[in-house]
Amino acid sequence: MPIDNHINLLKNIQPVEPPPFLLAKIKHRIANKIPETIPFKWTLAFCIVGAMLILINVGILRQNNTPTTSGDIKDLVNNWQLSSNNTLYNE
Amino acid sequence: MKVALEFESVFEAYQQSIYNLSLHYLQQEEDASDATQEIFIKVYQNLDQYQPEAAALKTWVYRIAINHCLDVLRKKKTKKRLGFVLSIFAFQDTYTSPQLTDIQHPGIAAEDKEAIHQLLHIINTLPEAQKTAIILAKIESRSQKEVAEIMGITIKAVESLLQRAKTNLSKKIHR
Repeated sequence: MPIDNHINLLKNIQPVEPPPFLLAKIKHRIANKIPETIPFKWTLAFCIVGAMLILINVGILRQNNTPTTSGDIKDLVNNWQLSSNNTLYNE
Repeated sequence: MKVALEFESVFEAYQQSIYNLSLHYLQQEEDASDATQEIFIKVYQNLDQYQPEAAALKTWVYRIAINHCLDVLRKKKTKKRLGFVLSIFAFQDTYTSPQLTDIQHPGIAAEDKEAIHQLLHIINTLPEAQKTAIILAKIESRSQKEVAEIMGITIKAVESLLQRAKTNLSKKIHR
């Protein structure tokens, strides 16, 4: 059977009547639909929590990143007897 | 109030065609009924954004309906894939492969049932654009110009889609 004959079978599909009370159901669903937008209070709460988290993180990073002074480094090199030049062997 | 009145007239004008279009895509009465309700809720919510100069009202409503039906089908496909994965790991036997008996279209006469169900089953495997072109042009008997307007493509592109759909169907039928 050629493909066009197969496809022409689709024309035998008859339109049907929609189920009753469709409009009433839609109106009911529209009336009871929960708004999809996020409430302002929630948005505000998320923003405040987010800002606080960022501030806490910045504070912790600042506390831990106090720059080491050159005096501290020299003390460390002396205490550990580290070589501060590029020669491999101490001749 | 004005939107509500306009909505009722839009609903009265297109409820039958949108229900039938949903039925052609989803092929189950209950799914089509649910989809029709959701489509008209979307129409209601966006009616104030409709621009008559951009597209005819019918074209606009049809586009919403087609996009919604394709979304429903995509979600169903994802659910089935997930069910299949779960069945592989033997969590539970949730996966059932799509059957011909899943199709429940009240517009198909008893004598054509088997042949049309098989054809619809194959049409379901076509890419979305080809499936849409077949539904609009062959089941709904719309002109290529109308199909092009609804799909937002050129008439040439519709011709090409229909040709490719025919080739794919032919291959799958004669396999």
